[in-house]
Amino acid sequence: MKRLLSLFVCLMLVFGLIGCASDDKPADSGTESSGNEEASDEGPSGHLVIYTSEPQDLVTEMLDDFVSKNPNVTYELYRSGTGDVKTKLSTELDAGGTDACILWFADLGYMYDLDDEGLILHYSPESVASVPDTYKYNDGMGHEVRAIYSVLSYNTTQIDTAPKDWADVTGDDYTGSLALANPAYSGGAMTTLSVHVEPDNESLVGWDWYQDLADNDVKMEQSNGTLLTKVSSGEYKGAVIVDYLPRNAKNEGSPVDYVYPASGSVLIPTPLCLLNTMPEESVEAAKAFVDYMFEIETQKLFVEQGYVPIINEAAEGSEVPTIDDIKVLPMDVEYMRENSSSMLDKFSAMFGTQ
Amino acid sequence: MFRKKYSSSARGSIAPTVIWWIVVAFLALTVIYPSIRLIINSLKVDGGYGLDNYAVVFSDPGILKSMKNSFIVVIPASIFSTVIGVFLSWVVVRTNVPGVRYWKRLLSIPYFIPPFIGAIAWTFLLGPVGYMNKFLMSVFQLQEAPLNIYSLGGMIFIMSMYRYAVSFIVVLPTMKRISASMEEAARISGASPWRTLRDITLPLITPSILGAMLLTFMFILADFGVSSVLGAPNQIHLMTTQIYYMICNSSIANNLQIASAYSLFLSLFGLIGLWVYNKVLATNKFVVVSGKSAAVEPTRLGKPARWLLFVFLVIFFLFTTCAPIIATLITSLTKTYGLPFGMDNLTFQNFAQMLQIQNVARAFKNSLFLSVASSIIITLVTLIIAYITIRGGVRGIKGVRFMQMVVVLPYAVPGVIIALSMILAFSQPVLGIRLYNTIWILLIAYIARFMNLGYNNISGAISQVDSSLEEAARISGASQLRAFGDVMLPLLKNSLISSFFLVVAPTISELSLSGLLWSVGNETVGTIVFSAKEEGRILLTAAIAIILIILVVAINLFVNSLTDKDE
Repeated sequence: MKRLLSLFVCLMLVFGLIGCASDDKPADSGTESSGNEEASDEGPSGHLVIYTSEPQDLVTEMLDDFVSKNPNVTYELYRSGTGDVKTKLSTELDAGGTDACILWFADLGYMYDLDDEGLILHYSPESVASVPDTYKYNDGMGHEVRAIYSVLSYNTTQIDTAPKDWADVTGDDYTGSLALANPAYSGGAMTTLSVHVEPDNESLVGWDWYQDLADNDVKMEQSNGTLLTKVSSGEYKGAVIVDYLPRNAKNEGSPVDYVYPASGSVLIPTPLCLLNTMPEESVEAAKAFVDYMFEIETQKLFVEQGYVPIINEAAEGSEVPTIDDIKVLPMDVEYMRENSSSMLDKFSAMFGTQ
Repeated sequence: MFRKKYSSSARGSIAPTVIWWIVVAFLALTVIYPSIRLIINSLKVDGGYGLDNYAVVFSDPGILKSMKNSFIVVIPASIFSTVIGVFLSWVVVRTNVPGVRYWKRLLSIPYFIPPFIGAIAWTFLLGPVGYMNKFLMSVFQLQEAPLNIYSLGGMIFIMSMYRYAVSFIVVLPTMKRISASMEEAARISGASPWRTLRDITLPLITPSILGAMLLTFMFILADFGVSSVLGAPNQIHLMTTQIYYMICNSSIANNLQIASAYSLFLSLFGLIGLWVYNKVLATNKFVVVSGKSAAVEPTRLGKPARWLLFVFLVIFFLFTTCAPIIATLITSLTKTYGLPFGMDNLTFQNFAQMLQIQNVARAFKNSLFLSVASSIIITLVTLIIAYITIRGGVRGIKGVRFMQMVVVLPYAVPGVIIALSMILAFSQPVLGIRLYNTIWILLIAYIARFMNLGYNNISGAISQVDSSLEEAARISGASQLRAFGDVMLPLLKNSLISSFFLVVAPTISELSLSGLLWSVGNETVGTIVFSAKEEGRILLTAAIAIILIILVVAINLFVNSLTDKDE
């Protein structure tokens, strides 16, 4: 009896706490991130909510740096895979609105959809004027802040002759041991598929290439991270993967290497976009964050993490290439948006997803 | 049966009724309201409402295939797991196998290994370049790996090797409490230990076994970690992974609504399980725990049989528990992934690196809080609901069965869908309070999702206790609450503790719910481990996994040692 009562008291306490905690909430998450107590009147202010699929270490490092330079700004971060981020955002929009101010994940088509609904705030900082058009979307809708590409990687203990182009990984060497990220889960893999099969590139890669892979018992993973792990362990001899992963693994000594395919790599768009549903007082801070992304120190931070920077001079003195060094297959965004569903159906039929 | 008896009695205070309504209000907030939002969502079609999404569920070939796959995997895996779990709990409680004290702890460890970590660990062992396959290839001079775990058979095998621990934990307390007199009677009449087990012990604990089987069934049905890790390479989808596939696949029109519809359909299987379970309990011929059997006399086995069993346990433990953990440990101590493990490829830097990541400590703290808080609340709430469902005693209320359903169903729904319903329900303020983006939304979601674990366990235990014990107390003048507190609670103590553990383990590493509901400051261990894995940082993943496993096993040992007196 006594025990039962005390348990109930606990339950009540928890309810009480729920009440208190939700009252404290804005202050709580605000102070969490602003390291600087002495706020000055200068510079932008406001609360930024960022939804991203980028590695959390990297994003928090940048946000902390940004906040220390702009002490009146606070932030809140949600990070997960592209699929999860989209699901959360869509459901929030369905349920009446989202807190998100800044979006940064690998689904360009989805950003265009949001833009069509009038939800994206267009903004182009001066610093991107010299950046090639390939890395900017729809007149300030969004920008690449660093570039990642779909490339070929292989396990160096198992493959003697490095592949040079897409066609080189369909042979007997790779039977049952080449892997792709599944386009149903990975925004990057979906882009790769679309670019590979769009009419302009059909002759370079095309559906025939995918048919060859299917005939050669290709494997699938849900994320690029798992691909890297399994290429490193030798479970897969090769994989189609985003470039920075094998670059970093190779630097750490893992038996992997990678090549930018001769006929062209696929740029994986990961645009940074602003939502115009954000509170008025946050807009200035959000724009300042976009500006911050293109500053040379920020770009160098990307290079340290193994990414290709958007501003070429950031890559100086490192082994990371610049965007000008990499040959890219042209990307037709309209084709991707119109055909993504039918492409996935065809892909599923070919690879037996169903 | 018992409900009628009590509800017609004029005695009793207002207290049970008040308690009941508090619980109802709590469930209305955490389960019923989000469920209604989810059901509405599943009916949404372009420009209105309709059953179109359900039509898709029953016509889409991918979805139908995933249902078939699920049944190919879930049914045999549940049966194997239950058989193994029940057998092991019998060995541990009712035989004199050497080292009985320790086996109880050791054999339950797999339950505490988070599913996706367990699945990855098993791929280290049984994957194409896993230790086991390499070993077999070198011994038998094979060109190709003989074992392929990326198959339906592989899923059945690994889920059984891994989920037997669920039945083991559920059956163990009941096994301890069966009155030994019947077994003794059988033995005295000349029955062999095996015969006694088959004809006396097993029939006596049938409700508990069925409860364990139902729980294991739901565990495996709701599994996401093992099936996504093993199903990915060859694109084998079970129901849960198919739902996740739908969720990610935004190029399909209405994908989230279809996924909601499919999940609600999936939860029907939980309902069927519950119905069967209630039917079995209703026959009510299993009431055998008299409460007087604290000192069970184990079945005496002959020397060869004892040691044979012992050797079996050792091999079983080494294979199902040690091997995957050691494989993970080796990975966590590797300097460069992909190179052979040895002295020159050994490092502690992965653990050092883990400490440097600012959010790891916070994640452990958050997960610990969420896990302990949700376990306590669930144990309490399910005790009340199970007790009232089985024994009745609250006057003038209806819908007891409905509440039972409310408690059980969410577990059959994939975590990511629960998260979806939480977003639908709570992303806008409710009654002027906004829980969204705080740790409380996670707590509510955990409670809603895992309530079934506590319920199943505790209802099995309650229905095994003879109601005459309480009746005796009532006749002697005790109030219903008093009778409950003084008679039932002590008898249920071990089951309550096992309820607590059943919930602690999956919540501390919870991933699929937290994936959509966390935010910086509210991160959980599951989301951190999963992010590390998704980013290809397998060494860091393994290091966090090892710390997590040590933590959960330590909690288990600690609380068990506090409650060891009656053993």
